[in-house]
Amino acid sequence: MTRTFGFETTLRRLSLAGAMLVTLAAPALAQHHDLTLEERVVNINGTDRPAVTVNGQFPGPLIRLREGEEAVIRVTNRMDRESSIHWHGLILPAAMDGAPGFSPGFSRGVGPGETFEYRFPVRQSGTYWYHAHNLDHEQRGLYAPIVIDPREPEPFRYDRDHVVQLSEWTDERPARALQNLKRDPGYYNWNRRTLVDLIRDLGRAPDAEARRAIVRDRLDWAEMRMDPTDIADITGATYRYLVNGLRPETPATLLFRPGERVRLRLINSGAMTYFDVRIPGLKMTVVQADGNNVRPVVVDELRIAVAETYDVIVEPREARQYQILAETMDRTGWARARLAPRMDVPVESLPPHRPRPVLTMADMYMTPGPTGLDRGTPRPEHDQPGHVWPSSGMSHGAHAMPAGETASAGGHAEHLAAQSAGHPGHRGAPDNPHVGHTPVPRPTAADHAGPGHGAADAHGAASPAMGDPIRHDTGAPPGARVLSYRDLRPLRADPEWRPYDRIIEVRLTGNMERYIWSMNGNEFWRAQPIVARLGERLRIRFINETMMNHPMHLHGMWMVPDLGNGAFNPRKHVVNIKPGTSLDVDVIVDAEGDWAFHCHLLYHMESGMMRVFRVVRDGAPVASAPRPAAQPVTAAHVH
Amino acid sequence: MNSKLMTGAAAGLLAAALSSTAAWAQVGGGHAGHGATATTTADPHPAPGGGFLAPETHGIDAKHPPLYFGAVLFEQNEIRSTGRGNPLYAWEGLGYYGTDYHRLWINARGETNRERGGLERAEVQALYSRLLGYYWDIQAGVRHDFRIDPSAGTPPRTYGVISLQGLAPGFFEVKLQGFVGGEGVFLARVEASYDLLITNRLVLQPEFEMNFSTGWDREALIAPGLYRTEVGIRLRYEITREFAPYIGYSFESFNGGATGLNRRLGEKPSQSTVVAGIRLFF
Repeated sequence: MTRTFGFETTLRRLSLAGAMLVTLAAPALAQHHDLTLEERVVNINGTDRPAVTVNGQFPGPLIRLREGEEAVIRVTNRMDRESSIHWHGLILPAAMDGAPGFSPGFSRGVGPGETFEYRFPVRQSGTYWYHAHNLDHEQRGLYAPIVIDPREPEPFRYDRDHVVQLSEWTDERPARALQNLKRDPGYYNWNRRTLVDLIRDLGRAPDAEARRAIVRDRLDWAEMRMDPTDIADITGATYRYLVNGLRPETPATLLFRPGERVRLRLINSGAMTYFDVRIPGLKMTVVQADGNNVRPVVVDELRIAVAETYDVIVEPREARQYQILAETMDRTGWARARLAPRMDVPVESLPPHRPRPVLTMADMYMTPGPTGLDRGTPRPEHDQPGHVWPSSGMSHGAHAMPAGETASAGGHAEHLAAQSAGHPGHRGAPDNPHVGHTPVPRPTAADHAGPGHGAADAHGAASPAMGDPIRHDTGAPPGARVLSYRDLRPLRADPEWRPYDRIIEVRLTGNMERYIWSMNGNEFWRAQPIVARLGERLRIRFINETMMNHPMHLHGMWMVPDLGNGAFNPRKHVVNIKPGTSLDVDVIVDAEGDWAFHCHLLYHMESGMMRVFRVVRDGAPVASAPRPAAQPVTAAHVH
Repeated sequence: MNSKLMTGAAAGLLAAALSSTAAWAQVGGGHAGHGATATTTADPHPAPGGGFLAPETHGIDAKHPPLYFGAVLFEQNEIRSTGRGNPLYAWEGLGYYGTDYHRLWINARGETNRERGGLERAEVQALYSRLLGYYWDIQAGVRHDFRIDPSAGTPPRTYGVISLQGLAPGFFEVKLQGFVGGEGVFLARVEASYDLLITNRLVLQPEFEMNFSTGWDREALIAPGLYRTEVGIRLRYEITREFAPYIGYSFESFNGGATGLNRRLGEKPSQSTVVAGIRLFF
């Protein structure tokens, strides 16, 4: 993984090609790789545990591909259970995607003793990764980086290139961990608010007003039966956080020479963990996100959602070590590596954890209240074809309504007042601290050009009571710059940018008490596929009704979050949807077949937050879909 | 005998009625009116369901069935002592197995006899449990009270059970149960408890239980109205989620007409005990 490159791009490419030829002796323009999946013992925490290895390695070996050529990868399964490898973020034919049960001809994955040959053209470049598409194997180590060298020279310069692959390890069986969550969703949370906390908070409160607010906050959360400290389902109580497979106590050492520009390929291969990444003493220049080049943006910190990748360039000038710190979002652990001029420098100590984040009522904004048989919402499905949800004024007002019902019954009127203020009809009430820092995305040109929609000013993101769907509060010191999706602007205008054809609403739903996760209230096994038509540009309006972040991932196609930048919105394979927020994400529907569409938190995926995303060829022009006709019916359901 | 049969039949009917709400709920959940394209009409296959076995498995992919899992929780697993005589052992627990929505559910409780050491009373409920809403399960099934020693204790009884349990606003664990017995009485039981986190591992749990009846069942020490209460407070330390030793205090009392029934047997109608035990969860 530690390669040194000359300044000249041509030289680099020559040496690379040479290395490839020597090691593989492959025919030109095809890149052959053989991967063998095996169970082997690893010892992360002092006991031997069975890990899933690729070619004997934990995590698996890096695969290097070249844009414009064909990749031929033979995967042999030497385990006693079916396995699979999914090429995360790669644009390829559905049959080669490696998602068992979705990809045609791959219904069972790679069976025990079998070899499956993946063969696909490489049509992109950048940093990606591959992993098993099942909970057990992925959590136990079947993940590794993919680096694709571009055909054109990179638009940025660097001297050295390191992969920083974040992940986590548990000594428990993943199936057991899932059962633990099912039996007690707070099983791994030893960070709940306690009586001792309450007394301490009251003691610190400056006046009676503040004390009343503290007590009221406690009562509100109790009233809702929700836990504001539920930041991560699985925590440092069982996880050990790794970089390139190494614990923070024995960190991976990434070499540099002072003055060099070092490219770090950050990959979050964690199953459940968001990391806040910083390198004290260095600014990071983000040059790629999810494999796509972006205009360089200099940041101090970034939050990397599960399954995302970011490429950053750092320029360490001093001949000392720099710690690459990745603190988990719930502050229960660290992953770390270090940049150092030599391998043998002593390991520095870790800084103290930042304060644990606690959810606020803003994170509950989209939660209509825990009512109804479909666990969290009284509204029926909207993701079937024809059920197009126009961006009408109803949209978000309707969300506040059920909460209002709960409130009037239960009597937390404060909450209700805050929510109804977010209703487009009662504009301009409370000041949202988030809005001051970064402007909320304005309705874009796409909103206005879209057919059959209503008042664009009712766009969810503009509602004052909703939290900013993009900005991350990492607890960074004042003045530090934290990356947000809004900073991710592609180098060139997206050539395929155009107004969306229709909107479907995908509500991220769940039952926190039972650990049931779903989309639109239906878990995977009870849900119908989401059907899209080849060639259309489909806008998915994500509405996160839960209190957790969900990194939504679509196989085989790019997702373009609408950040108000039109053709300069970035292409991503994972889009994080923050709790209690709504975000519009366009899908460029250009790949026929069945694709997996899911939350990349593996335990959420495994407990139902997944759908078949079916792309069909349809003769009928897309615009002929009977859009608003369905609305009176659904409205009747709602009210 | 006849009454026993009737009770069983009633319980079965209840369970069937409950599970048929599954089908109803899923139709309501929006499965009507979707199709592969905008031109097709309503789905010709209505959502199946209504059986005991996971009706949610009608999805597109049988390879991703819902997860079946189970748990056992002994909330009370303790020695009780009044300070005089032998301490007695008491337990109260539950176990279940199934999916998120449909479970086979067992409740069990009982205690040993102070003098002889054998079982004093034991109660087992076998229930079908269905998720009713976000926080609530509705359950139906059978309860049986055992008579261990034919010469002593209360006689065996079998009841049909309907039960609602879940988490009430404020994080109160609540259980409401109704029992239909062959003796022509209708019993009700209300239980509630609360976990007060002093720290993340030290948890104070107050709980109470009240039993009501519509009529007399003298042999079983049941009298009309409120006939039995139990109040307790337990302080546990969660070494792990699975293993939590605790100490506490428990007060049990017969009320109303049941007081007299107890006195007639020469027993005290109430007792307060100091308890120590281990809460188990696996």
